[in-house]
Amino acid sequence: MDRQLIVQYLRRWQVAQADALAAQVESCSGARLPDQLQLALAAEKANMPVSPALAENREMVRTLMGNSSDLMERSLYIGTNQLPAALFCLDGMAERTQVMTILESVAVRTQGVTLPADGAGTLLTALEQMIPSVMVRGVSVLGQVLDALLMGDTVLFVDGLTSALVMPTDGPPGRQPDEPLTEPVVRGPKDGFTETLSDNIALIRRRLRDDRLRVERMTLGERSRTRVVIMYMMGIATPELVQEVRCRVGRIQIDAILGTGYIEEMIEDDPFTIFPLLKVTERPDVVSAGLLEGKVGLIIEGSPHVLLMPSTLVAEMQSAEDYYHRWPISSFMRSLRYVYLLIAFLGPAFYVAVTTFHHELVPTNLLVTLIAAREGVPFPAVLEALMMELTMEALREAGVRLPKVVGQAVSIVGALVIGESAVAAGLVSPVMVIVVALTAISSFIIPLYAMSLAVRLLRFVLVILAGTFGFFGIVVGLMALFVHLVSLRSFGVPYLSPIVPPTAGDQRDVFVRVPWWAMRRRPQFMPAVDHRRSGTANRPKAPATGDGG
Amino acid sequence: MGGEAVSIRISGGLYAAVLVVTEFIMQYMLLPRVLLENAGQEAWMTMILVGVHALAVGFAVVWIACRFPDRDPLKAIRCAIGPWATYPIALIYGAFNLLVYALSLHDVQTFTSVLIVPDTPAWVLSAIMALLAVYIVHQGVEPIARTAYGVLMPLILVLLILPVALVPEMSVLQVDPFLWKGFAGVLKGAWIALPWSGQSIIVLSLIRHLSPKVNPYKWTLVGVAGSHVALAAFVLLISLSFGSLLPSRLLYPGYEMFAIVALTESIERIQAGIMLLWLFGSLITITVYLFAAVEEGSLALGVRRRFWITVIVGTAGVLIAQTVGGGLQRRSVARQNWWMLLHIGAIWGVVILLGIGALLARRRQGAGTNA
Repeated sequence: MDRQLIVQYLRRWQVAQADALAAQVESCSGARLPDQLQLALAAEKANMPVSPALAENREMVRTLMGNSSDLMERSLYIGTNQLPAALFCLDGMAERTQVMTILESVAVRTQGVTLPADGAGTLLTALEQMIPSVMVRGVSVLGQVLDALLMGDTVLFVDGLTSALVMPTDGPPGRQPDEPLTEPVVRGPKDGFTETLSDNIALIRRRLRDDRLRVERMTLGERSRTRVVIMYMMGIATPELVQEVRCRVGRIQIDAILGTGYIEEMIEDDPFTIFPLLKVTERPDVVSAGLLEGKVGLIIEGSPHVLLMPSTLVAEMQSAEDYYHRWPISSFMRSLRYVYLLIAFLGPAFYVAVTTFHHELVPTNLLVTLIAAREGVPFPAVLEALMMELTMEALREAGVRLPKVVGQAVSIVGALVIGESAVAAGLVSPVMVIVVALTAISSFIIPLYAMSLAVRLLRFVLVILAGTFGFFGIVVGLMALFVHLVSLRSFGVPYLSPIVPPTAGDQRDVFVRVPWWAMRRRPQFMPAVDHRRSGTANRPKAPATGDGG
Repeated sequence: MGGEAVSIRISGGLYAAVLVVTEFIMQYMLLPRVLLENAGQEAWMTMILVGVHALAVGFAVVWIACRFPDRDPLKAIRCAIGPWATYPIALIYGAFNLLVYALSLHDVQTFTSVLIVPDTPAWVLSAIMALLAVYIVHQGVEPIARTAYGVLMPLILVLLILPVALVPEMSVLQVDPFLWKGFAGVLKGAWIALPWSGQSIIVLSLIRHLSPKVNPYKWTLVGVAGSHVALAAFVLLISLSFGSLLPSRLLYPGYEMFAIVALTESIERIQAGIMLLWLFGSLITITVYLFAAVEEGSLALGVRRRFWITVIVGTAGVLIAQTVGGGLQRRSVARQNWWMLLHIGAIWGVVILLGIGALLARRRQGAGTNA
């Protein structure tokens, strides 16, 4: 580290803070600057101008980056007049092929050209013309230079120039769009989001080739500098909703954003609910459909999940596949999904209440079977249900955490152990095994994982209430839940919309899905500028036939 | 959006749903026995008569409320005359609703102890219901109204299906002779039911939350008259199925009626569903009374931290239900005249005081806004 160059840079800056910092640097001894001084320099980086002296810039970048080992630097001389220059990028963040192309081009194209050494503006323009990059921008502050480097861009300093040239070269190797893990479909697109922001934006753009699709970029996280993109369809999403999203995202102050969960918890309407108030999806088609309904998407760099807002309970129960199959099939499947949601939610609680408190409600033959099955089981039904449900959750969690090759085997062994051995040992009744298995299968039918997690958790509460107070407990639990759901809002939209409050026109896409030609309008409960979705003449008609002679 | 404080307004349908559920649920389970005992098989007529009283109370409050902007007579009186002028109204109204809340808690806890969880201490049930009511009141008027609406829909379904399901059990001979206990019996029944019907006074707490575009007379008529027509229909069904002697000796004849309903061979236990529906409805009723007691009390006293006053009133109701609830219930059921007069006096006292206050307020203010 050349301490003299740092001092020289700071003195050239000619402001009081810089002089103070220069004095501190001068007074230091040792191979590296003390941490406090490094932090003090970092605090001023947003005000530090790019110096006309290349050596000073080079030293400052190195110092501000803490002589990081992944900071790559290449010195070169450009033009016939051999102007000294330096190219900086971060290993792994910038794509090497792109960097090499730029380097090669700068070296080759400037050969035989005398670059103007006297006028900074002319030199900048000349270089911009020679560099084969989609976008070249000049930045005049070292803070911006560092931001660009951290985003994966490549920066070129030229001696005598008070601006640095920034060329986008970001694009670390990422995985190809793959089938979403949690939202697979039989019919429909198989591509899912990846961890790369630009790829995710492109996946949506390819579906919505509309110039009114707006993409606004923000940077969040004081240390992670995570790029976040707000996407919406101008002319459909209301400006108020977009502004609200901007405000909520913009006011986040955190050191790092490492996934969608970080942002989700900071922008939702009710921080204490267990229900997902924003839709989390891995599917570009789902996001595209949401944008067309007037929703706003939030894409976060490094996450294959996209947040879609506002969301509702009904939206959480919709699967992408509902819109790809024929409408009667989709309607049947969707209705069935609601039935199984109730089973997933109430199944064990209902069984516990009936077997513990309300025998009179069960038909006599069934009651005899139930009593015979429970004979010899040493635990009360509520304890039996809780044990089984907890074991089921453990198996499910183990299945997720274990490597794929052994996960399935463990699940099968676990199911066998629980199902067969527990019944054989007389610890649980066979009916309870059936109830828990049916409940588990039902919870898998819920299309979105976040929603099924909420149902799983609430099931335990209801089982305890049912085991303590019977149907009275279930009623109290359900009522509290209903009131909670009615009170919930997602960006101002009632969470139970369009069921509560009911809007007649929106029932076409709730428990059933009507044909596409009948869905002429976007959901009314969603705040949208333009509710018209399609024309009135889409209903197919058979061609007129003659007399058939 | 989102974090902004939004004044929630309810639609006419939701307003009527709250009125129907509040008027219908408790009366359906507790009144038929008493009415059938006094009015005989013409008990359904008493329901129509008390419905007229309920409408009179409801309309009187609506008429007064509509003289003022925001349909909030208490606020207008407070602004025009002074806060002290609202104290007697809020005190009587709040105390009345607290009492009805406590009695309702006692009624539901008795029903639950008898039919669902006989081994659970009654105070535990009462405390759980109060806890739920406090939570719902804290959430505001919209969830109350929406939950009431959710109960109303299956209730209408039951009302439509039940006569069909009971056809095999019904006989015109059960209501023969007509006016068996004379019109005096009908009037006696109506007198007994008067305090119940006066509970339509809760429109005072609901009307300020009603959307300004909605005609309050129309929806009060729908809510109050609808509930009493439905009650009359159910009581008539009980009479047609059981006559009047047997149900007057049953604790809950309205509930027992569903025991004989068998839609098909396999669907024969719809009584459980009715029990759940009634429990839902009764919990809403309890919540509405707590809401009314808290809303007017806190507005009159200028209490901003309404959560704590809700907790205090909610707890007070549990204590009343446990300590004197049984005694009050017995007096209510025994139809003691002083109890009846106290009850009806409180209801009309509020209406009259409200009317006087409104008159004075309008004189101070000058011309108000007519509905």
